[in-house]
Amino acid sequence: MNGATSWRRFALLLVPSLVAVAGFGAAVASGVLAASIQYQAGNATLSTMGVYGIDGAVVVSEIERQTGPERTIRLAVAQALINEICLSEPILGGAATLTVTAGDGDPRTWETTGNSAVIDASQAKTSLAMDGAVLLGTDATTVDTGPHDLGAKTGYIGIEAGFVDARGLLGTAAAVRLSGIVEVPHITFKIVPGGGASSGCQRMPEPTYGGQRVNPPAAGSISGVVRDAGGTPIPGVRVALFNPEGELNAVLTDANGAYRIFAFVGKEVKVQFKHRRYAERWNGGALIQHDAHPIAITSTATLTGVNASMPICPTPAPC
Amino acid sequence: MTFRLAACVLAGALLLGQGPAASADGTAIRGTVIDSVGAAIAGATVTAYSSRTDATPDATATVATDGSYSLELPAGGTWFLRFSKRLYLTRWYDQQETQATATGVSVANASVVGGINARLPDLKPTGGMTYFPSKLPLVISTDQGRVESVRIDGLQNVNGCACITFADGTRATTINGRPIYRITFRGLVATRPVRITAVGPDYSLTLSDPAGTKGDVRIGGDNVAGQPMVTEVYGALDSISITPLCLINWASLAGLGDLLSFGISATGYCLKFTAYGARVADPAPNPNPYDNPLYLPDGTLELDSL
Repeated sequence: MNGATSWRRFALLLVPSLVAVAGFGAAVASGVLAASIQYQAGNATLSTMGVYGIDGAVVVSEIERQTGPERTIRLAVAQALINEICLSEPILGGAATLTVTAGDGDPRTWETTGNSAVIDASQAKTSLAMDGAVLLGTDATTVDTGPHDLGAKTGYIGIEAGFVDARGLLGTAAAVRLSGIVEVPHITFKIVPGGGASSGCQRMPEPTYGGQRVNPPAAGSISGVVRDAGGTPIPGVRVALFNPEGELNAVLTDANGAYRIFAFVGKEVKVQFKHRRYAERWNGGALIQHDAHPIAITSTATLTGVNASMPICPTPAPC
Repeated sequence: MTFRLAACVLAGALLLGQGPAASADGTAIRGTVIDSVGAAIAGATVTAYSSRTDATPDATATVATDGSYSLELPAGGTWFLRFSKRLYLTRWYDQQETQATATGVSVANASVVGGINARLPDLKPTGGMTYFPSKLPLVISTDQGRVESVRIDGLQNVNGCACITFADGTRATTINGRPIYRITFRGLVATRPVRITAVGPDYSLTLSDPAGTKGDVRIGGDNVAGQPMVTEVYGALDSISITPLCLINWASLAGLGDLLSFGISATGYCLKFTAYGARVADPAPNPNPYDNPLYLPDGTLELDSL
């Protein structure tokens, strides 16, 4: 499904490279909020202790380069959490390497956050775990992981999962984008002589503390049933969570109109119900996002009974 | 004066003719395309053929956001109309499933026939799948592993078709010339190198793990409660063996029927299958701690151009 933003439009802004990110970072200093941060159309070394998200996918996609479209492995997660990140790229014709890092230096925390994270890579080494129902070999155009447009074309293949956990990741990244309100603590920039691999980002260990694996924050869930005005369950309704900054993740109702969607403990979310044949609704029967009351995710328990009743659209016009 | 008048008439004619309808001589068919509950299917394609056996379309139109279309035709005659959209079932006028049974629409030269409507049912995955797989075969293999049980079923028959459905509505009953089964593994773990590869027309995507230094690869395995997780594969088993060598080719086991079930408790088998899709899930999902039905502790993702 198409998301709310156009990845292609971003990708057409060619070659801002890490230098632009550096300029951006210098302007915002550390620990601040940014609407979005992006690095694209380069060939950076990317390293992180971990990228984690609720509702994620790995699909084959394309990015735009000056030389034309280039195929890429697109890793996308919603409710993105990143534990230390490093991006480096040779500059000045390989005479030097620019390195940008962000993070708090503490492996216990997943300090860089955004509503979504999208990484385009040509290859990556990572300890990869996927949870929930993991679908291998999906038609990439049918994969929906929330607000970002996966840019998938017919014929491309994907893997979709409820949770994606990529640790100790080291790869070659053509583009990295974080969107929604992004919190990026302690951005640092460094230019060192030399353009070799040893001058840039190195593979980081998987996050451990006191010899124990560090787990990402706990998640709770919301569940309910979506029915039409006559009380008949509606399958295929897109149920999406929103925070004030925008959309987080989305699921579809099953054959019985039921859904269950996850969010990190501590989040406050509104729930949107959308189906092309029915009028849009929000939790509590609200017609618009503004009128819905936020639901606080306070524990790992499932908050049941977040149901919706959706009236059918007038036909044949769209709602 | 005469020239000016002509220009005005021409301009008026152009304005009047601005409906998306008319072709050079104004021959057109119009109607609406809606879904099973009557909502517009914007972006659906309407294609005209000159006969029930003609394979080459003569005209095409796209359905507007209000569900209407106007199909300009090269000439009057009897036309056979096909209505299609990804994730919907294709229909021919008048609600026919095939071109051979389509009802023709007669339209005179330079005239417009309206009310040629179509209703397209939702496309649903079949064969027991819950999602639409890519048409690219996925090859999953490991040199060694263990599994608690394997069960092989024929595809679930839905609406008279025991087949896999793709997002464009096409179907498959075979993969690389062999029948597609639903192969269900419980507690599937690889203890030696594992590769999951999708081969496209000019690229390949590989997810692999050497399974040695960092431990077993779960493509299922057990959840935290000790229950085996389920791996459903929609494809054909190429080889399975309880020896370290892949000696038994699945083809040699063909003819045993559609339904097989057997358990392998020992470690030390190799496994290879070619599938349109696979689903790995925890029967009792528990987000804390994560059971991770798919876990490659030393994974590599690679995209190669072919």
